[in-house]
Amino acid sequence: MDINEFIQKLQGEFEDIPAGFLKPETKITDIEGWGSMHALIVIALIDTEYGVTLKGDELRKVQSVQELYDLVIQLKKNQQ
Amino acid sequence: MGACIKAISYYLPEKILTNEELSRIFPEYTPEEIFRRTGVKERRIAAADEIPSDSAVFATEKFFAEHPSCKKEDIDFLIFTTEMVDRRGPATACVLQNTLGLPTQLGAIDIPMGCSGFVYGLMVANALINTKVAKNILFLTGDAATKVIHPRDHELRMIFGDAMAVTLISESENAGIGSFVLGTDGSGAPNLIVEGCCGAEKPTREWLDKYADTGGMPYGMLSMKGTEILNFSLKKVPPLIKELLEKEKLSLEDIDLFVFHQASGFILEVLRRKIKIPKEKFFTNIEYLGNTVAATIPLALYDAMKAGKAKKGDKVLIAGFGIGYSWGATILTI
Repeated sequence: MDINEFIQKLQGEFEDIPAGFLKPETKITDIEGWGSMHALIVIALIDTEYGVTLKGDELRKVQSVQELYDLVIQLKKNQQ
Repeated sequence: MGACIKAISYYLPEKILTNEELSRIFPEYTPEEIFRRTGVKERRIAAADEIPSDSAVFATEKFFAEHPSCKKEDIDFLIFTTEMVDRRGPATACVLQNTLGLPTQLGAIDIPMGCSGFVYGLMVANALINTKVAKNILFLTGDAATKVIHPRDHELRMIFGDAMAVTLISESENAGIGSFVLGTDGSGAPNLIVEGCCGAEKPTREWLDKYADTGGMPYGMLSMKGTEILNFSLKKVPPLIKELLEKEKLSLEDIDLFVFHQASGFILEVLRRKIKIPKEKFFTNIEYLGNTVAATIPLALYDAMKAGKAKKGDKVLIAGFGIGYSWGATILTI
């Protein structure tokens, strides 16, 4: 999985984000209407697609899409 | 010989809180958005002076009216499962024996459990019957979560509702209740908790003053970290189901219906997909009841049976999970 694939999957979960809006450097909190529901959707997506379950605290520390991707990769590595 | 669920009934308070009404209180959310977030369209709200022991009386009266072949004089054990007991002592179940007009020759206990409460109470009832302590157990499960929700906490108000279920568990020729898998992780306690009501967190003058504008939150106040609860559910529920199926030497396909604690529409759907349960085998009724804590599973069982989705002889897997953290599951043969 590379970051573009990751972004595509994220994009697929958020109907209200215009195509191309999400980039590695995009701040997660800049996503329109970002809130608790989005956090839940992200946790569920990453669990389903990558088999790692993020904690709320871990997600809260993440700023950009790149950081979120790096976290998922790191957690996946720790798991193996 | 074994134990089985002989009959179920439930009671709902009259007052309905719709998404339209919530949307008027929290204009930043449309009724559709509330439904999308929670899977709930309406929930019931207990009257201001109605606490679970009152609901228990209404529910029990309804139960015996609906099931005339069940007699109060045959009840030899009473279990009251709620997180909102009347007082520190005596046990609310003892008081209810008298209020409900049940025989004095019965055992009565409270089990103060929430989301997993139905599974835990059922486990105790099953054990009581299998050890010949009791033959007919009246099992009351329900709560009044809306009493411990701050009026401005939109997330919790969207999810929770009030209800009380009555289940009769009786000795039977064939065991209708399978083995249990249970789990507990108290490190999750702070993530779903009612504070400011007793013991470790007494209601202080400061507390009552802080919430004076909402009546002082005298029953305590519920707080939930939604992301942690999702994380917990994703981590614990799929292995719970797997372990139970292995214990019972069954596969996912052998189960006719899955009835989970109706936590939220979102969590239910995520779990259904993760465990790979087909939609038609996954019963939900959160849409018009909300999360009624310990009452969700019996409410869903009742509705599933009424809708013909759980028929005689069917294997129904029930799973409760949440506040504690506490979780448990078993397989019923209807």
